[in-house]
Amino acid sequence: MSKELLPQDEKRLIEAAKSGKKPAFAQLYRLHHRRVYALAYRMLSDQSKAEDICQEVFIKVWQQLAFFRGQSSFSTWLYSISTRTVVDHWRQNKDTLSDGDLAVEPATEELHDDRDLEQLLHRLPAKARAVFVLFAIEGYQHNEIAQLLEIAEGNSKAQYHRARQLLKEWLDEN
Amino acid sequence: MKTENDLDALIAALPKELNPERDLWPELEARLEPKWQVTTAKNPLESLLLKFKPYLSFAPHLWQSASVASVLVGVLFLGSQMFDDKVLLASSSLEQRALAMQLHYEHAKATQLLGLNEIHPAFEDWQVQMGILESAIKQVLEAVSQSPESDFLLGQLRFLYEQQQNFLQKVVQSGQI
Repeated sequence: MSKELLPQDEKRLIEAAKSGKKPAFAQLYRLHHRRVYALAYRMLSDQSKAEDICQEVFIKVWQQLAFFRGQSSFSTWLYSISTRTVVDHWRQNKDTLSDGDLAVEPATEELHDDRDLEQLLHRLPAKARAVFVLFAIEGYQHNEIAQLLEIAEGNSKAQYHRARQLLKEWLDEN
Repeated sequence: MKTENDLDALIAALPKELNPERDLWPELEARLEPKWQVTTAKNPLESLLLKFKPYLSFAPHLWQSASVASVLVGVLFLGSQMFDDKVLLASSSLEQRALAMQLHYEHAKATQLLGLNEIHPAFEDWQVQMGILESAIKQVLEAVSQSPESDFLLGQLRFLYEQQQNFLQKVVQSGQI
């Protein structure tokens, strides 16, 4: 988990990073990269891609930091960049990610609770998984998800329902 | 049998954060180009905009002040400077493009205002109308800073500036009839 940082300390770090100080930017990275990585990994189910995207997000943040005016919190701004970057990659890869993942054999070993769910997420079909991650974990609304993934709002709701049903079935199997 | 509540409890227990298996920072640090610092510190868009920001937004009281002519000349000069820098525009981020658009339309607006003489009574509240559009433009600019990859916002910005430009053109023409 990331350590809490006082707002004035974060502001100082941001200002230092804006002036090109990499150690300050490194601290901002250390505070926020796990959440960026979690989003990318859960959406794409690919560790290597998630690592690349995590780096790409922070390169964008570094390049655009001069234009961050503090009208929203830094984390809101950063996660907005993260979501858009991850979703762009998801869209580019959705054909190769799409529904065939269901064919993956269920894990044979005994799994437990939240670790179960974490692993089962990756068995979900791509679209259902993306909607589930954005709605249930990241807190987006279906209308926002529909816009991000370029699908109908009703489709987003249906995919979420499908994801829940599958997860419940799989959890019962264990 | 897992209930909906069981599932909700499991979802709530999922961590918001996950650790990558390797340290990504050293690779990332190597990819952070130092030229960014140059771009930021000497970016003509940023520095000129900050320097002249007070004059870039439409302000009725400025129009009535004695210094309006010099302000408009300044904006005209800025606008022409900005659009000479094609390299910057070609390689810019969405937020930079929004700033470039802002300067472009402020430049056009300044040109239009220089042609303003008499105003037809039908447009007597033209400053109020301009202020409303200006306020909408400011809101979109704020949104751009929060959603730096939204092309939709850039479209909104262009639409509002064009509305303002068309309206101002009518105001200017009203005094020429």
